[in-house]
Amino acid sequence: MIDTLTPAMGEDSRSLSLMTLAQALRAGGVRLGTDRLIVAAEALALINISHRGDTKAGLRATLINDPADFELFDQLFDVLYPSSLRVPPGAEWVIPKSPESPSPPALRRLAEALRAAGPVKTLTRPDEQRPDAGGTFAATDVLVTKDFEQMSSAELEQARRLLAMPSQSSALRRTRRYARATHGSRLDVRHLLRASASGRLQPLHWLSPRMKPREWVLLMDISGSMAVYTRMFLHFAHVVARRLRPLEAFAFATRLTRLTRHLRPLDPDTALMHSARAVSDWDGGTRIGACLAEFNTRWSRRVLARGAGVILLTDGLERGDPAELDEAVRRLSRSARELVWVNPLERSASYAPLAMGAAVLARHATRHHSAHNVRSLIDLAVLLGL
Amino acid sequence: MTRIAAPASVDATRALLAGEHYLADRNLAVVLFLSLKLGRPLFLEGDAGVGKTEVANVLSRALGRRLIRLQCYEGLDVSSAVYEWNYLRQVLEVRLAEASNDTDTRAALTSEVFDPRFLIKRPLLQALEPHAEGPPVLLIDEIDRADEPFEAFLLEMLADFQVSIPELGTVRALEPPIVILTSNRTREVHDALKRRCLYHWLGYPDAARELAIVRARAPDASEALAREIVRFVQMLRERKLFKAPGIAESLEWARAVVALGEHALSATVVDETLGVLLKYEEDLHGVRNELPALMTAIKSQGLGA
Repeated sequence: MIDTLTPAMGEDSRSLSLMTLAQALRAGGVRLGTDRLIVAAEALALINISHRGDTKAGLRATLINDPADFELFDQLFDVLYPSSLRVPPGAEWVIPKSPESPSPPALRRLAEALRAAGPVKTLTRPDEQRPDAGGTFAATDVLVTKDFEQMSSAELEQARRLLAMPSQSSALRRTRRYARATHGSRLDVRHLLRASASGRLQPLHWLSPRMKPREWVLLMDISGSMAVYTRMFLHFAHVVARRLRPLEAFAFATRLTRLTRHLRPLDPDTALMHSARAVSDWDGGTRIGACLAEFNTRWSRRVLARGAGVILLTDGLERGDPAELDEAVRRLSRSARELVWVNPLERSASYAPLAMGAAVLARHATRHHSAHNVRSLIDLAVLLGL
Repeated sequence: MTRIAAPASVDATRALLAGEHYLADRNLAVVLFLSLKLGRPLFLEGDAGVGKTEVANVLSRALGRRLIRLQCYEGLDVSSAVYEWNYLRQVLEVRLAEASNDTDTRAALTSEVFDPRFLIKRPLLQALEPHAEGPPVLLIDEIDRADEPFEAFLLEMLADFQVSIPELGTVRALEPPIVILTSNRTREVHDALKRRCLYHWLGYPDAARELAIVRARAPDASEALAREIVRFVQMLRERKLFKAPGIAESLEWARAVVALGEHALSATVVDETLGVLLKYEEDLHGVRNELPALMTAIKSQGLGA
């Protein structure tokens, strides 16, 4: 159907099937329905397709609706429809090595787009596998309070299952939308009028504001010093994201990665695998300040607009510039309705945030919480009404 | 009344916009042309102050169409976006009917009270009505500020260009309006809505185009001043600012400097007027600290150019 709609783009070998482009885009992770393809085909019929720039702009406007996919589209388009065409039809696609080579994540997606699925990297690293010494069976109540750091990998696995949290009444925020209610602050005039047309006496109808769960943004430190906790945090994030739609999740060590999309799959292992592939700086150093600054400039307006709170999971061991960290955290705490600092080091009553980064976080966070075992994570979830 | 026809080519679209002093890059012209031809809504996303809303303004002027604007906000509902009944007049009507004590009048009341004369038409309903000069330009501004329920409602409206009013029936547009949606991306708008639109990301212009825009839109600023302003603003955009200045800010700044009677940028003038460009204390602070270096940079570039 589509192919009959698609006019041949250009002459002889310079032909690009819309379907080929669409399939490559889909393999690269762009969600693309047939409806968009029909519009794209209509667009191609309207513009002068020998004008390469126009064709590109037209196809991009019809096929892509997220700027994050622009780079992938541009590269695919350039590969499939080169400006100086020397590639014989049917030749294998090559990734262009232009002087300004594309950034690694985009290149990775391009490679994936062109040859379906790449090698799968999983979260489990050999160095993380602790020897399963001693204890063969740990009772769940012990597990709930045991520090992640002291758990064997089997216990970690069990702890992960325990994290399927009981659902709790959520912390709500008031929306600007009203719903019918028995008591309320506004009269439902429309309903009243319609009812009173019957001529009988009517009880008063009221409207009251609708409530909605508060949005949360999760910022996870995945640097080397946090390695033990990272996997559990990711599970926590996945459980929370499944419970509650408006959750944005980011991971950082030396750079910031948005995980929201990757945590979407229902199956936790799939979600974790996707997240692991998205992040390129596992166990790297820590540049909390720089990463938070990037979050402030690139994301905060986008994800903190509706009175969302921020959950910052980090031990506060900063290797970057403390002044930069101070400024970034100050900005963050001002943009967020609430800044909850979740610190796995805060496991004992004697802990005091003495390290430079920790002191800065302690100063600006509105709440602290520990996160070294399942109990503390469940407490956190309850506290936040997740 | 003769209608101004929609442009027939990409170049004509670009010329149409330029006629109203809107200097669009070629990609925007392509997308706008396709949107008009295909009758699809255009979804414009980009940072604040890059001229998203202006596209709708300019289009309505250039095509001589009415501009109907719907500013979105959280909680926007049917009664402020589509229609509302004029309750006060309805109540009065009910009272009058009751006073007349006539059984016929009372029987007719139900239909009378929901007569179109008691209907207050809000932007979306207005956009569906026929207009002598041709279908209007419907600007749905800052859709990211609206909430999901409103987005879901828009989906339906943009698909069929019709709304149903339970008491009256369905209102359908004979000719669909030209729809432009804008978003500042303070929230990700749902895929389902974007899918029905052509999508365009509006970025900051390069120096040459921004200079042309400043010259066209702030003609009181001299060529030399406009150059300095554009250079300064372009330099600011390369820095890590919490909020980089948009084109709107460049224009405001040019007008502000002219209003002060200045013909060139100096450290003093920049310092005094920096609030026009930057709206966050930490941005202002950072830029003020490096003002001498920035001034040297724009002046030295000036010699080269």
